Amino acid sequence: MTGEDDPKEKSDMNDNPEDPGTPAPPSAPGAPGRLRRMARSRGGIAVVGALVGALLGTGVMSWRAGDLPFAARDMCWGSLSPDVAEALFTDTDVRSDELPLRRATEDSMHTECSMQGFGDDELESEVTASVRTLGELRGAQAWDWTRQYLSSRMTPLGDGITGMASSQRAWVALPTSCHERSYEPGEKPPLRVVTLASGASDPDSVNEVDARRGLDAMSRAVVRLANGVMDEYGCEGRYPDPPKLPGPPEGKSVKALDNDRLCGLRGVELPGWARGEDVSAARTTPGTEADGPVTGGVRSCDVGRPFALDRIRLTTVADPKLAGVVSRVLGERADRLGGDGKGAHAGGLTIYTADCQRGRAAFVAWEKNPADDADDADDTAGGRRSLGLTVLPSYVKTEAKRAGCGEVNVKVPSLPTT
Amino acid sequence: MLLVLVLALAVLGGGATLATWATRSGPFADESYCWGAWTEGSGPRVLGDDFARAAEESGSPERGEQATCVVAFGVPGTEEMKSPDTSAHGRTPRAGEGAGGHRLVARVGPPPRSTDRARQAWLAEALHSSAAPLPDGLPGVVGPGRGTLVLPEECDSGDVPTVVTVRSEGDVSYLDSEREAAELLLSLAETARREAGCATGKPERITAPVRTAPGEETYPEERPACRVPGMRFAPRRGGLGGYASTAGDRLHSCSLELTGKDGEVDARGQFVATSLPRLVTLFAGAAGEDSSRSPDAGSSRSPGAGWRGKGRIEGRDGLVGLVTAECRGRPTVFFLHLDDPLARAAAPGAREVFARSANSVTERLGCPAVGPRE
Repeated sequence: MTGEDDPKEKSDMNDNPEDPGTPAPPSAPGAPGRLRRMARSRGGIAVVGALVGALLGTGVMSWRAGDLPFAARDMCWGSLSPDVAEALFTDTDVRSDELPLRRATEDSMHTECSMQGFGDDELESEVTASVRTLGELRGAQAWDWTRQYLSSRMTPLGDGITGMASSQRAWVALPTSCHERSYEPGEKPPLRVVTLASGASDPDSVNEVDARRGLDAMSRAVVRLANGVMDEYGCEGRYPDPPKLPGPPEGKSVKALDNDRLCGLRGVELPGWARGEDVSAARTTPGTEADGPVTGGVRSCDVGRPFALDRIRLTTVADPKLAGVVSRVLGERADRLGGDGKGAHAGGLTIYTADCQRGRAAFVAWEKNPADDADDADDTAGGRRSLGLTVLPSYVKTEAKRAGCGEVNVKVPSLPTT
Repeated sequence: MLLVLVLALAVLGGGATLATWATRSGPFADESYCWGAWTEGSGPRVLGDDFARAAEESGSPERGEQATCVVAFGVPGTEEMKSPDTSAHGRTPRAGEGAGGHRLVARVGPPPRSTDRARQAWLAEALHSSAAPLPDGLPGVVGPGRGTLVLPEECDSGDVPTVVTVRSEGDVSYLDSEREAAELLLSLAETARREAGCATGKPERITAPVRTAPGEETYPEERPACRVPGMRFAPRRGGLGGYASTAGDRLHSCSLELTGKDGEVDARGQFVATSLPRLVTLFAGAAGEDSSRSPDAGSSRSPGAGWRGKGRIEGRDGLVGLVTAECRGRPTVFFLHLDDPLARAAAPGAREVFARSANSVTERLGCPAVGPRE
């Protein structure tokens, strides 16, 4: 819910169209650009990909070429006006190609639109828009999305929109009433999202000006993308442009770590053995308060060295549909955890779920570089320590209250005490 | 599980004048209903060509007055459309009694003056949790068969707000979506504001997608009711079910029904926590103590030992608890109403369940507990 006292400050991107944002690294220069140009020069050529999943898998893409050359048009299923799309690039020459949004096949898992920025007629950067059925992902695919799109770089869009944005990634959940196809009564439509991706999800460094512009451009574009897709699907209602989001989420938002209040959470301590230079900084989802409700549905905290933040990520997912996706990350072979909820642990990843006021909530502890012993069975017997398993019980106990789950106690395998 | 009969109690504003059928204003003009709020062919299916309609207005939406409009609709030429029931107190047939008539019921007016049963029954209908909060920050809820909107302050009479409700009655709702219900609700609200002379501000509009309302859930004994930790019931007989609405930062609501073996609802309950100022006004005095409905008057006492804020908990026949306390800088209402069988099934007791439920919400919102901690 949004309050009537929420600020409605608008992004001022329109004032600086010549000054656009994301410095996406050159991703696939050379040949693709020339191919694309040849396709464009003939205009109106449509090559429709029938089985996108297979095509994506083999790395072969068939794109439907754009409209007439020279005519400025809205990109990516008619959703992004030239000024909104160009704000995503530092280049002025932006071209796009898209797979059809509605496809003849039943499998509507995933469709994409590629926007490319050209400088000197060479491909320099690329932003990919996609529409995907997140609710059907599981295992590594579900984790890959969770890892990229729910990091502490991501700022909730607020204003009643379920979605987040950073200068590199953005997503918006389509409303539960809006689908590509109709569903039978009683059938539960899976969660469907639109996303934008530009370069690496977690780049080593982004300068603050670029991050600010990138965040503004991505947050506006992803909401317009959601509106465009809703329009194509014939759904009613459009989201307003997001307000200027707090952030940028890089640089200054990284804070020195309080060992006794990990991620600002009372009662969550960094164990003595894990303390040190390597674990001295933290960044928490912008726009959220450690002692407040999980307003945007997601709260993440990355902890580690000041710039890399590479030790551990703790995430609370209070949105039930997203929590469902997260809960399907670990398969049957993961080690089960006990307690009031359900959980499992494998490698450096621990995921715990509980029933809460909004439905299911998920709690994630992810050690980014777990000390990988050869004999994994040893990790519970004291061979090596898992920071994730050590911190999880106190993290879940604290965050479960904010997620509206009440008292949730986690039982982990016995851990070494020092 | 319709709560229709209860509604009838809430309707009456004395001396309402009957009749005024919808009239064509010109030979080719589309017909319109309910003081002109709903025009034929304006979008919702019930106003389309598939149905015949007959409407009756009683009262007119003036400030402080209760006005009701009933639109009976059905397939043209059928028996029920030959003698359509457009009376404000029309009875909707229960399940198993046949299709019966289908009606849209529009109401404009203040909540009932009564501070006990009638008000609680009205609240149970107006903020029923089978409806989800309206988007764009509007103070109201909408579901596939109902909608409620509190009009802006300039439409108040004294301290009492004017509320617009739409209800689809019949064995099934013919409103196709939450959006259709929202459209009917907003056009009724616009008409009501014009009629009441308080249409000075901008008309309410919905641009964002309308949320999908929650479905019915069952709450076996081992699970907390309404998904609210602390809301526990152990009924000796019957099954507990209900609707748990979006647990948002500004509105959290849940409607409970205790159903006996015969499928009849034996007892109802409602839990609401809200900090939306217009919705807060609906609760003034709802715990049955004071005829004044100023938000402050009548609730100037402490609800009891260990409670924060002001309010009253009444537990003689069932339970009614109403407490107003600040949470994250906002005056927030916590309300629990349990019919007697539910109050007796509350575990460990009805007062404890109220305190624990309220505390579950404050815990989620990150503000100090409102009820006594055990």
